[in-house]
Amino acid sequence: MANTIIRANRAFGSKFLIFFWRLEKKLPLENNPGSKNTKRGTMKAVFLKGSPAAGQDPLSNRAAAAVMATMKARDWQVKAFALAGMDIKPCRGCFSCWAKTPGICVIKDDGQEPILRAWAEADRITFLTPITFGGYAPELKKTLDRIIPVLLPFFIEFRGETHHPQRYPRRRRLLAIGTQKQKDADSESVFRHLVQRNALNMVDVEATTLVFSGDASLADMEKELREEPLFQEVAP
Amino acid sequence: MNGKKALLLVGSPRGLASTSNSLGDHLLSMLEEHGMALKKLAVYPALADEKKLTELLTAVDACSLLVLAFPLYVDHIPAPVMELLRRIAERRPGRQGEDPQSLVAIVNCGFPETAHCRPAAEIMRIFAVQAGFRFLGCLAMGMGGAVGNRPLAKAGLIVRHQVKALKGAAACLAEGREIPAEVVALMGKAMMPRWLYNWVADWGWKRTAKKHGSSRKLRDRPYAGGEGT
Repeated sequence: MANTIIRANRAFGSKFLIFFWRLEKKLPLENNPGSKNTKRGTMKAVFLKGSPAAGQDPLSNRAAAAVMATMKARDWQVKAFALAGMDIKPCRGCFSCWAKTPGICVIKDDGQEPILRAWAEADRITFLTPITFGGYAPELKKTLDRIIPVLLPFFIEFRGETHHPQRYPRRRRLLAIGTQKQKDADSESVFRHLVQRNALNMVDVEATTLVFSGDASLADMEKELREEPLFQEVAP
Repeated sequence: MNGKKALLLVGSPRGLASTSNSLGDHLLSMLEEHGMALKKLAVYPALADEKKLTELLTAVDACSLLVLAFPLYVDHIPAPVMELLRRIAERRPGRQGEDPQSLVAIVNCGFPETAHCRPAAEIMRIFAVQAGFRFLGCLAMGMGGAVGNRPLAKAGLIVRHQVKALKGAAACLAEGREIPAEVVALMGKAMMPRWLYNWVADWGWKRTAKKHGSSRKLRDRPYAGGEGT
């Protein structure tokens, strides 16, 4: 048995065996062996823009422009979705995406499938939302409610709590950007906590939260984003 | 009747066939014993119909106690309920009367740990402040799947803590008092050991998949590597 493992290790490399050991132990996986499309150096990102329709919230729209500019400057391959204009119907809570058509939502509309497809391949996920009562605005939330096909229905214990494992295991990073017309420390604190909880529940996702408020200019936002360590990293 | 009106808004996509409805209904029945008049409306159908929405918003304006019951979706309040909260808040800028209306939330999640519900409870608290309600508390519980849409009275001994907590909460709410921490803790008490709940839940997914002929597809990755349907 030991010889077989040693031979397999020589043939396939230790990462191969570590991957199956982690799979068996239901531990988070470092890489996604199923994806052959990720080239080293090309960061794949999903950008979920939960800003209201153009012109309704200049602060949020400026933040969206700053995020796009920063991602482009880093040569990230970005799939951006302007959620306010998309027909994304509410989740029905039917759980068909877990038990009937695993990984596929049964609600057919124009928005969600491309988001799920992009999420499956993404290294970086970015949310942008006006902070609404400390949480996400409905424009962003409507798509997050329907993101559960990227998770498996089963329970695992992760950092002392029960969570669902990723369907497309990959070490991802989440950048959540909230905007506030007026600074509100209470709402901001709840927002930051919510983002950390989201990251924890997506298992093996690390989160960074930024909050822009008041009359933050495009240049200020771009500067802050450029300095963010998340934008300094190279693709796995 | 004591002249106070309680309005239950059921914020689950499953409407009246949901755990949110079971929990909200039980609280209403307790409030009725304290002489409150009751009304119940579902959120999802109202958002799809202007007439129903107007009726709902009018009912919100007229109630003394608003009870909002919903499931936890991705650590948060479901999107349509957030949309409704935004609409309610927009109608009530700076509203703070001498006798402000009260708000209580009931949230259930499918994870065994109640702690997952904490951000949703905080969001409800901030909504209450911004929309001019007195926030009397949030009754949160995990293991929502164990209730399974049944009326609490028929759910047996597993919900004994929740039944007791709702009774205690109703007594406070009827008097306009905040729900004490011990009642909130009782509501969030586990119905069974975590390992048992998790085991039954996993088995349940496998059984449902078998029924739909998708047992071998449960871990499928339909969108991996650019493939997909």
